[in-house]
Amino acid sequence: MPIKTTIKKGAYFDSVALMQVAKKLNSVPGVLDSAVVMATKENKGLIKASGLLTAEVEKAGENDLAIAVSARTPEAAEAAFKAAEELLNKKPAAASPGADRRAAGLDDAVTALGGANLAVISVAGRFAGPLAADCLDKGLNVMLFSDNVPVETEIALKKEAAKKGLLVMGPDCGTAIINGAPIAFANSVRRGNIGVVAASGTGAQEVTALISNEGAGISQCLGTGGRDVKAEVGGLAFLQALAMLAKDEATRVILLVSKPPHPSVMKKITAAVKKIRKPVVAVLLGGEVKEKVKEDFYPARTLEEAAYKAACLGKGLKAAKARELIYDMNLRAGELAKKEAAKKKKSRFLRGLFTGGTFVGEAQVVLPEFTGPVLSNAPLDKKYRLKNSVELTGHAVIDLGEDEFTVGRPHPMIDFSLRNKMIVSEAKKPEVSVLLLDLVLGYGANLKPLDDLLPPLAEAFRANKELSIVASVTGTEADPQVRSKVVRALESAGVLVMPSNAGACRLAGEIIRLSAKEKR
Amino acid sequence: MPRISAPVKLLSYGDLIEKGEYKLHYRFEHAVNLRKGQALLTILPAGRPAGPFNLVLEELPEKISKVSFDGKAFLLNGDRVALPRGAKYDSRLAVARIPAAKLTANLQRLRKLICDSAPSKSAVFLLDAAREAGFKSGFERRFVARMKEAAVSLAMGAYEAGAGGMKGLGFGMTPSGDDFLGGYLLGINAAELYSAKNLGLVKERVYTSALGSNLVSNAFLAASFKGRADERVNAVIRALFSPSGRATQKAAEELLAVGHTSGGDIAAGFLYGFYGVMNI
Repeated sequence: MPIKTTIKKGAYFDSVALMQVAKKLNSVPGVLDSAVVMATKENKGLIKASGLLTAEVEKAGENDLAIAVSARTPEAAEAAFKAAEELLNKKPAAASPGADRRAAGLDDAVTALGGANLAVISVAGRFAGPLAADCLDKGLNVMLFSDNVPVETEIALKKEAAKKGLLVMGPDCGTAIINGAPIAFANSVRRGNIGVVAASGTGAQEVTALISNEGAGISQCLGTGGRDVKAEVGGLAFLQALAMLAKDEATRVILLVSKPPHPSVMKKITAAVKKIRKPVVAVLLGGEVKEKVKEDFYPARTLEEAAYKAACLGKGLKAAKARELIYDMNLRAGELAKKEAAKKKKSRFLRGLFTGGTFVGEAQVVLPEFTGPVLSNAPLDKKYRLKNSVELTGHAVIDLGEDEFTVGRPHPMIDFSLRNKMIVSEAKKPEVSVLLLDLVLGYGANLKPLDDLLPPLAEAFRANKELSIVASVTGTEADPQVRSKVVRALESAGVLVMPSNAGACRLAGEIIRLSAKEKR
Repeated sequence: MPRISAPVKLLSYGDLIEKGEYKLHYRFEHAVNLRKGQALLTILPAGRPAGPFNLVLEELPEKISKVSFDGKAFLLNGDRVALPRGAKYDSRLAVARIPAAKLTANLQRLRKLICDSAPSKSAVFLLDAAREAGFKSGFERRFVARMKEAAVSLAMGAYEAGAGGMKGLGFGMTPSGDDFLGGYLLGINAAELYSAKNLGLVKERVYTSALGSNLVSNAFLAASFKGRADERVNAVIRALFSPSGRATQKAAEELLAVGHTSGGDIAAGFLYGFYGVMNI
């Protein structure tokens, strides 16, 4: 039984690489046993006890990596070593000529890309502030994707940027569209005359995609980060972005997207809007503008209503025309709801499993009029907070992008695994009648959503014969995933797909309302 | 390529870094280890955790062969780098005396999380026997057997046999056994702070038996013996002793998210150490 060993002197490989090698060695046909460990005295003892010790390993020091294999034949041992060497020597592929180059630092990047005027920063929060300050010093606008940036740093950066005539979007800003270029989590939308200021990433994606799908287009979409509209930051970026769009000649209509700003910030925004000589549409999810701001100011209750109003205005139509679009959607939803409600016998609850936080807010605005109280881990009203985010009760909608689910994991728009598990586990509960889902396409999102999503959906339908699954798909035909292709596949799988999240919420709510009525 | 011509920006430096001149020990892709006798200094780039022996710079210098520290500044290849205010990392464990019921719930939460999520080859099988199934080859099964034997010795108070049997064992650049023992010492320190018991002798017996000849393992064990930890481990311990269960979950996930076995090994050792001495 041949035993083959090798020593990598003073070599460093991270433990993940070593595990991969160990796994690979054990899977090579003919390999009986193997060890890939640092040659400590104690590990050598184990190697000896396993019958893998050679003089070479015996001599190795504590800082050396020992690889030992016993195999049925010398050829199998050789093949195992070859596989190990390949894995250990694997280096990241070098960039081909002309491909994007990885810069060594900010100075290098600025020199390499003359004329750049925007930096996207995605580093750990506590390092993001100094880096953003350096970018501002170099005359760059900043999109701060990073979160966990101290609020004092955010304020200082935004004030410094304003002095220099630059904009800081973020922290925790995930979406922007600048001069037609989608940045981070964003969709490929038509260019047009509607400028968006958004303190909500998913909200920005939904409105820009809906506008584009309605045949209107986006001039710029500027993110601010959700904390910008809180009292401490005072809407510094929101107001600055608003002023930029007011001056921008390509922008004819302005659309504001946010959760309700702090009253002090709302006052400043209202004052700024009053001075703008362009129509302004605003959606403040869960809040409302009480005063009459100006003649051509159009408040909206949902992202969908805001997007359609802006789209109509952008196309030179009256904002009120948006109602017709929503009415048409409701007609179709009413028919679907009747059919679905008819198959319900025992089930009665709705569960919304969302990857986009703003959609959870929108669901709480839309659903209660159909279903009554809706619980959430991100409630608009604290009294409807779920006691446990993974043990859902009653009608419930959860935001899987909340910190409690995302620390140490990719965002659920990219990694569907957690939601997939919940789709199946919720479907298995006989009391669950409707699952409500969002699916966000575009850059930054999962590029093959169907591969990941269809299997758990099929399992869910198998597990619960009364189940309805309602979904919205946020995206456009120009997105890498191609919206119509995704919609067709979902519909073939039995999912009821609506053009907007608000539309999906109304359909899901209507199914619950009608089935409750039939049971009575 | 990293640069050395531009000013070096110091982000944090550890509170256990000894004064003196350090020479290059080994350079990795994302870390440079320097040594002064048995004392360690690790230089890391931005984004890596602050730690008792860590010097975190905005970027790793391209070449570094010598670093001096006089308590007021670092000299990196002869360039003086002053210590910014607030950059000194305080590595002491933060242990608050929360109610026992809360603490127990947090410890259980940590245990469940690492049993569910730690990498397959970590020492977490000492908490969850079902994980032993992941160790398939003869070598791996012997490793499991030796670790279990040593863990039983530790649990029975045979600290010399337990620590001596476990040190240097297992996978990773700092072997799993060393990480587990570092976690074990941190667990004892946390128990000492929480219960006000004097556990100095227990720590001493474990520590002296755990030392080997691996510079990095020894530095980690020395810090753990003194009740000092890097910021990721410290975050888990701080969260364990906070009333918020969610905080424990978040901090532990961050520790495990590192992707290597170390996070799971340290956490498993911590639970063994803490439970072990609290039951004395």
